[in-house]
Amino acid sequence: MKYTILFVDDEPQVLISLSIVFQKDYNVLTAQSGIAALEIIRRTPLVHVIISDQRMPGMPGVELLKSVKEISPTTMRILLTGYADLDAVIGSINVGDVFRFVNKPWKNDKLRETVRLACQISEKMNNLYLQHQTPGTSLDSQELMTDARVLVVDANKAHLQAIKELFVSDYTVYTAATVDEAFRIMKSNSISVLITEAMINDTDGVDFLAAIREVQPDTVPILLSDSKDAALAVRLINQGRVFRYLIKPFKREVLKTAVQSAISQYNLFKKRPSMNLRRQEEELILGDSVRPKPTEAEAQPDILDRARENIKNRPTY
Amino acid sequence: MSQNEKKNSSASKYREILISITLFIILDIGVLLMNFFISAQIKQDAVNVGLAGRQQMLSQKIVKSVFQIHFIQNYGQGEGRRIDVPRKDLETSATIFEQTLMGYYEGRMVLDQNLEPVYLSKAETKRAQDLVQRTLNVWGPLKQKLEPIIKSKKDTVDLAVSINTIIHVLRKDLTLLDLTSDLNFELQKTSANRAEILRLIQSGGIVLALGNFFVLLFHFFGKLRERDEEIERYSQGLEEMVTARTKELRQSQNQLIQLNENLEQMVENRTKQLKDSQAQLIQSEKMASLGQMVAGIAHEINTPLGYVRSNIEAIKETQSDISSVAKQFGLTQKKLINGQLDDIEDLLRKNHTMLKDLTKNPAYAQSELLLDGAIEGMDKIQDLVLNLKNFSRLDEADMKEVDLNTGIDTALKIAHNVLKYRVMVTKEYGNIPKIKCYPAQLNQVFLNLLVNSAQACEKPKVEGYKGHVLIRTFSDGEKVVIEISDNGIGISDEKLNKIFEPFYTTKPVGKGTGLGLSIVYQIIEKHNGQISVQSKLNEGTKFRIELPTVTSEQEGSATAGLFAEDEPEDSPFKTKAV
Repeated sequence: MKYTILFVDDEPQVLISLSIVFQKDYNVLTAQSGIAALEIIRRTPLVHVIISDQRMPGMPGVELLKSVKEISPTTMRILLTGYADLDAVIGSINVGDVFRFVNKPWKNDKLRETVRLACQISEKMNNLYLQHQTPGTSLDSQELMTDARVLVVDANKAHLQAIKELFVSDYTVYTAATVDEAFRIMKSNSISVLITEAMINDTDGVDFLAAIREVQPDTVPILLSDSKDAALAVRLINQGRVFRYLIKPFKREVLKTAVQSAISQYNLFKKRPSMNLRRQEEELILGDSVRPKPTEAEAQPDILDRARENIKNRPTY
Repeated sequence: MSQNEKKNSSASKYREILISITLFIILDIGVLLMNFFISAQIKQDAVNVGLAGRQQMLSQKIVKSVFQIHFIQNYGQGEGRRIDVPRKDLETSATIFEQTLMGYYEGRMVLDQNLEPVYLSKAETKRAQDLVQRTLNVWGPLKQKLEPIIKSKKDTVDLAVSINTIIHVLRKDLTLLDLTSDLNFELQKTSANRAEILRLIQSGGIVLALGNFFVLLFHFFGKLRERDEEIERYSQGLEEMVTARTKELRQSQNQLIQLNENLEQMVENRTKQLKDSQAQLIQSEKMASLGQMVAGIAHEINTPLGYVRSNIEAIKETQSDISSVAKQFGLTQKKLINGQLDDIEDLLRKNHTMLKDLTKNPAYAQSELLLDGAIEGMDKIQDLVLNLKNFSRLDEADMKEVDLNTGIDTALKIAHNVLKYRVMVTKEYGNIPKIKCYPAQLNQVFLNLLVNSAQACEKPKVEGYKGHVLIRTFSDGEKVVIEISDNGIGISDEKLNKIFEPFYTTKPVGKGTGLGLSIVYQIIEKHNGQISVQSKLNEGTKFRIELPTVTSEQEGSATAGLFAEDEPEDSPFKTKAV
């Protein structure tokens, strides 16, 4: 059975090109606008992956993907755009919950790999959805909520303290001013939500998140940054798999809401590890082959280095 | 000198005059009173002296009368003479004498020469009193001697008495005369003394009055002189002050001039700074709108670039298949030519399969479509780059005759990515003459207005709303009119007044510099044109630009554009106040 994929772009040439490239292995659908795409999503039993442009007349890509998520949660969402303005990228993280953010011009083989991975995850997720008729909603979230542990990582001690004060009454809060400290804490405590600055001293937040994933794959990361670098945000989606991306300064409520959503997400992962996209992804990329677990003795830089290496060698975006 | 001190001094001045006048009046009144008093005393003195004289006379009259009586009685009785006449005289004289003497003794009313009552004052001086006393002492016994004569009612007087009396009178009368004379003299002396005193008082009063007058005069003159001196001093001080002030004034004038120069320098510097920062702001506005454009243009270029690359990659991927098919077919043909037909059947079957596989490959089957797409994408990119070049017109920084319709089209193409997602554009171009202008600047104006219109149509108000931008151009020969209207959100009246002001923006911080429309305004003003705006909230906005077909720069001096000034007139940094 071929996977079904949907391309959305207001430029017909893009659709022609992608159709020709993908039609050999996939059941390719195309739409020239967001509204048309939503129509197809509603009509079609299962679209595994939707690949949409951001800038389109009528409905921008992020908005389309947000709607798609509501209509068909197991459809993996990829944004393919000619210009990544920050608003769009952040929107795609926080609102569209996109799987990948791909810039035009794209590379066919890398896009193929990304689409293939997305299709496989979608299929797996869809199977899980079929098993549990009402996924997510049946969770007794209250019970798990009380156990929530939040780790805040920021080189700025004042920020650390301020964030700690914000949550200390509701959750167990750990703080770390350095990456090493963070790893030490995570070795002995299972962390629900990680709130981290995009740059911790010299360590790139993206690498840090990738390394964290190896230590505790279920931890849900929230990234804080005062940089308006769209490229960083793209990396955070594609490599960091960040759950939320907040630009400083933000309102306290925004962070609170983000942490609450992250805890729900974490609880879902704990109860049904298969729902963790990240785990699925890792498993699909590496196969069921032995994944070297980080040993107790392993030094932090090694974890970071390996994470960096993994990212570099990945065939997908 | 304060007002109070002045008041005090003038009060003291007046007090002095008042004191002087009071003194003068008191003195005068004193002298006058003394005069009156002493005059009255002198008058009394005159009475006293007069009566003293009478006393002398009376004393002699008494003697005379006594003698007469004696003579008549003794020698003249026969001749018909009677003694009662002299006796009467004697009585009268004695009575008056005694009365007068008592007057001197104790002060009383007496009868004067004319038998009028007059007041006789008591003897004043010790000596006079002594004389009066002594007179009284003499008079007493004398009167006793005279009594019998006076009291005798008979025509005759007893001779013995008479002689006794005469002897006594003769003996005493001289003393009496001397005494009265002395009294007279004494009284005269007293009177003279008094007159002397009066004179002294009068002359003293005059002297004192004069003294007072002179003192006053002196004082007055002194004051006057003081005043003069003060005035002198004051005027001198005034002069000095005026001199000083003039000097000060001159100094401050100099300072002012200096300050003015500094100020001018400062203003010049500030103006320069302002111009620089304005230029920077304009530059940053350009960068901001450029940034916005870049986002759109990057997308515009990356999209064709995306499918061009994808298409070429897809075709490239078929290349190896095509090569192997060609190789296979070449091998088959070679075998056929060489007559090696042993396995030709297998070979042909394999060829068929390979060819079938190749033709089944969509990238091969539709390679023409892919290549067409690639070429189309290239054209698009080329077109876009050309448009960018046309839009910026960097090679045409000077004035040029251009067709504005073309300029609007260029701006439309640049803004295409912004416009196409939001609005439908309708063009109603009229037949307009070419005008001499700075094309790059006017293109910027058109782009700015078009993007504004598109942004105004961004939020659909109602279901089924479709953003619409209408561009109209027309000309009446004298001017070219460009109207850009939209059916967007519109602008409220209070905002409408401010939209051409620099830094006025309704966009959130960081999203707009608020310079876009002010720059538009400046550019149109530089072209001697006019820009106006009409808008209604929730209905839309219409911008209208009028540009003269003949610009004033065309009529400028013949050397215009030959020599570069410090700040060329056409420099984008040479801005006029809005």
